[in-house]
Amino acid sequence: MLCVAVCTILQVITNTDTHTNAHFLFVVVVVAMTYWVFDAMFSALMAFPQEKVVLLKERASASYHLSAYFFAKTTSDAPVRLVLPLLYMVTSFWMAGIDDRFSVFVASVGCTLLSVLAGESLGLMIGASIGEMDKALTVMTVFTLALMLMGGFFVENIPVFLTWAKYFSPFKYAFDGSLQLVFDHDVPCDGSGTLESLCGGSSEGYASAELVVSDFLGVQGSIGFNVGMLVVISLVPRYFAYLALRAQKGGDRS
Amino acid sequence: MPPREEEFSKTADTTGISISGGGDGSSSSSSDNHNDGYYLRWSRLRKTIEVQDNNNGGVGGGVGGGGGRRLMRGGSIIGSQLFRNRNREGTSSGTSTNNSGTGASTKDILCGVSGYAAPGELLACMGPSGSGKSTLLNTLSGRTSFQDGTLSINGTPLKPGSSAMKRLMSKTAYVKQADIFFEHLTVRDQLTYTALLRLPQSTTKEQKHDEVERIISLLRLGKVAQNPINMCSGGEKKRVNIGTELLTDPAILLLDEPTSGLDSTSAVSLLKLLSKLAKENGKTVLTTIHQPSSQLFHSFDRLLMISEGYVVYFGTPSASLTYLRDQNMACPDGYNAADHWMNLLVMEDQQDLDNDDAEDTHNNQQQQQQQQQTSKDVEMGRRKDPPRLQLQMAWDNEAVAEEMDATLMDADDKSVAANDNNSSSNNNNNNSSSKKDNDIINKYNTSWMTQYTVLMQRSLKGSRSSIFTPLNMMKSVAIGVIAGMIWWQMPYTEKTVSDRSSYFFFSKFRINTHFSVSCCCWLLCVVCGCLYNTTSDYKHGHTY
Repeated sequence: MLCVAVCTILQVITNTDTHTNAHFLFVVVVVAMTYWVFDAMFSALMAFPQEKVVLLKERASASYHLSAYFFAKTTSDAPVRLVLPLLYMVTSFWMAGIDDRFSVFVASVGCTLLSVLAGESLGLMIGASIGEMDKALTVMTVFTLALMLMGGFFVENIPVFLTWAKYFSPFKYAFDGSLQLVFDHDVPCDGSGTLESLCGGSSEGYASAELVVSDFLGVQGSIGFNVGMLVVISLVPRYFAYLALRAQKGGDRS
Repeated sequence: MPPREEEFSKTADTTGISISGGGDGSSSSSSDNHNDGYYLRWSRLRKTIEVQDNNNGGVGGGVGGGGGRRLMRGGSIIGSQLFRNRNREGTSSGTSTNNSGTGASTKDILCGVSGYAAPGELLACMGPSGSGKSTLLNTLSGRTSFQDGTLSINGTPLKPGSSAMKRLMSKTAYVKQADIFFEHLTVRDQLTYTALLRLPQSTTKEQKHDEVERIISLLRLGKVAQNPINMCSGGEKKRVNIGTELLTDPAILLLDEPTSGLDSTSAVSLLKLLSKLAKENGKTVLTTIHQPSSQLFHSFDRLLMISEGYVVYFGTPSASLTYLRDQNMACPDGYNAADHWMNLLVMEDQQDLDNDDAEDTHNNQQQQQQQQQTSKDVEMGRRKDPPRLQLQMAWDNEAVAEEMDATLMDADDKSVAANDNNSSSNNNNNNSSSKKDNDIINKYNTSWMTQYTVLMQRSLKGSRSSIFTPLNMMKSVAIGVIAGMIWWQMPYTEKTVSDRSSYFFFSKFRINTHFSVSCCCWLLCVVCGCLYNTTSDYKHGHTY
C-alpha cells in the first residue's frame, strides 16, 4: 500500500506542471497539516462526554474539586496530544527543506503545536457544553467547516458582513504566523511568473519578503499578534469548557 | 391493630432489639459495643415530583385513574378509619385533577415511608419496578430532597442542606446500580486512585495502599486485581464498585440493586458478603433487591416492602409470611416467599376480573366511576382491589413512624448524656468524631494538589494507552514522510512561494474552489465517520 502510494506520489511530483497535481496535492496537504488540528479538535470534543458519567459519579461522592480534575485533564492531555504532530513535523520539515535554520524550525513547530492546542480548546468547549456525543459531533462539523471557509483559504472575496468571522479561526492565525517565520528574507525571482506583480516575470532581482507575505499571501498581523491570538484561543474556550462542566448535574440513576 | 403489634414484638424478639423503646435500644447498644454504629431512621418520607400529564381525562382514563389512586392516599395515613375517609376525598380530588387537564400534575414517588436501618443488620428493600426503591435510596443518601418527613441519624434529625445532612452523606456510601469506572484501568488502579483521592490527607500513602489491599482481600478480588476492569465479570465489577465505596470506611452502605445482572450464585455470595460486612464490621447495610432466592430472602435481617411509594411491610422476612397469612394472602407452601410478595404487589385487577365480569366490559371513560365504586366497596368491606392496594391500606405505617419519632424525641434528651458517656468512657472515640467533623467542613478529604496529581496520573494512564499506540506513531511518521517527499527540498525561490505556504496549510492558489469545498466536506465526513465508530465502541464498552 505504502509502496504504491509513494510511487504514485513520485510520479506526480516528476510531472511538475503544477496544474495537474494540484488536486492531489490539496488532498495530501489537507490531510497532512489541518489533520492535526482536526484530530485534536475531535478527540478533545469526545474527552468530556466520554468521561462525563464517571465524572458525575465521582463528583456526587465528593471525590475531588472540579477544577483539579479539569486542570489535570487538560495538562495531561495536551502534551500527549502534541506528540503525534511533533513527530510529523520533525519528519516532514527537514525532508521538504522548508528552512535550514533550526530556530525557524523550532518556531514554526511551536506555531503548529499552538494551533493544535487551540483546536483542542475549541473541541473541549463544544464537547463540554453540549455533553451529548452525537449532537456535539454535528455542531463540531458545522463549526469547523465554517471556521475553515471563513478563514479565507477558499474564497478570497468573503462578503463584507462576514469578514469578522475569520478572526475566530485558529487556522488563520497559525497560517499567518508560520508564513512570516518562513518568508523572513527576500525571495529570489526565477522568471516563473508566480510573483508576477513583484518580479514582473524577470529572472533576476528579489521580491521583498514583506510584500510577498502581506500582498501575495495576504498575511495579517505580526508574528507576536498571531501567536498571541493562538494562545488566547487555546485558553479562553478552555475556561468556557470548565464553566459548562461546572453547570452540569447528574441524573438520579446515573 | 393488635395483630401488627404482635408482629412487631415478634420482630423485636428475633432481632433482639426493642423497637418500642427504640431510643433506649439504640443509645444503649451504641454506647455498649457499636460506638461507630449508625442508626438511620426515616419517618413519613414524602417526595413529590411534577409530571407532565398529557392525558386528557377521557383518553388516558386508565393511567389517570391510577395516578388518582396514588394521589388520593398521599400524606400521612392515620389509622385505617381516617384512611378510608381520605380515600373517598382523594378519589374526587384525583378526578378533578385529571379532568382539569392542565398538563402538569404532581406524582408522589414516596408516600410517607417510614422505617429504619440498624448497624450490624442488612435491610433489604423490595418492590416492583417504579415503586420508589431507588428514590428512597437517593433520599436516604442525601442526594435528593424530600418534601415532607423526618430523616434522622442516631436520633438527630437531619435537615436538607444542613451540616448534619452533609455528615450523613460523608458517612454514607452509595453504590449505584450502574458500575461506572474508567474501564481501561486495572482493578487495583481503580481502588488505589480512589483511595488516594478520598482517604484523608493525614493517612500516609502506605496506609492507603494497605487499605486497598485490605479491600481487595475482603472482597476477594485478588485474582482479578491486575486485570483491566473491562475484562471483569459482572459480579467482579459490582464488587469493585462496592470496594470503591468501602474504601472510605462508611458506616452506612446503600446499594441500589447490587444483584441485577448477576447469576444466582454470584448474587448469593455477594449478599453473603454484604451481611458479613454488616455483622462483622457493624455497618448499616441497606440494599434494594430484585428477585431474591428463597434462601436469600430469609437471610435478610429486615425487610422493607414498597409498593407505589407506600410501605406495605416492614419487619423480618419470616414474620412477613405470618403477616401475609393474617391478610389472607398466605404464601403457598414450597413457593418462594419473595416471588409471592412480588406477585401480590404487581398483580393487576385480576381478582376483580374473576369476581365481577361486568366491570371488565367497562371502557376507560368509566374507570373513574369504577374507582369510586371500588372505594365504596372497600368501605363496605368487600374486596375488589388488587392485593397491592389492600396491602397498601392494611399496613399501619403510622405505628412505625411514631416509633421513629419517639426515638427522635428521646435522642434530644439523650444526646448530651451520650456525649458525656463518650467523653468519659472513650476519649479516643471522641477525638476521632471531632476529626471527622473537620473533614466534613472541608468536604473534600484531600488537598487540591493531591487531587491534581492523582487525577493527572490517572488521566495520563488513559491518554497514553489510547494515543501512544504503535499504530498512531507509525501513522504520524508515515504522513510526515509522504508530505516531506511531496515538498522534497524546495529551493527558496519565487516559484515555490505557494508550495511553501501550502506546506503549512492548504493553499488557496490554483485550486478550483468548488472542488476544494467538496473535498473538505469529504474529509470531515471521513473524520466524523471514524469518530462515530469509536463512539459506538465506547458505548458498547460501558455496560450501563
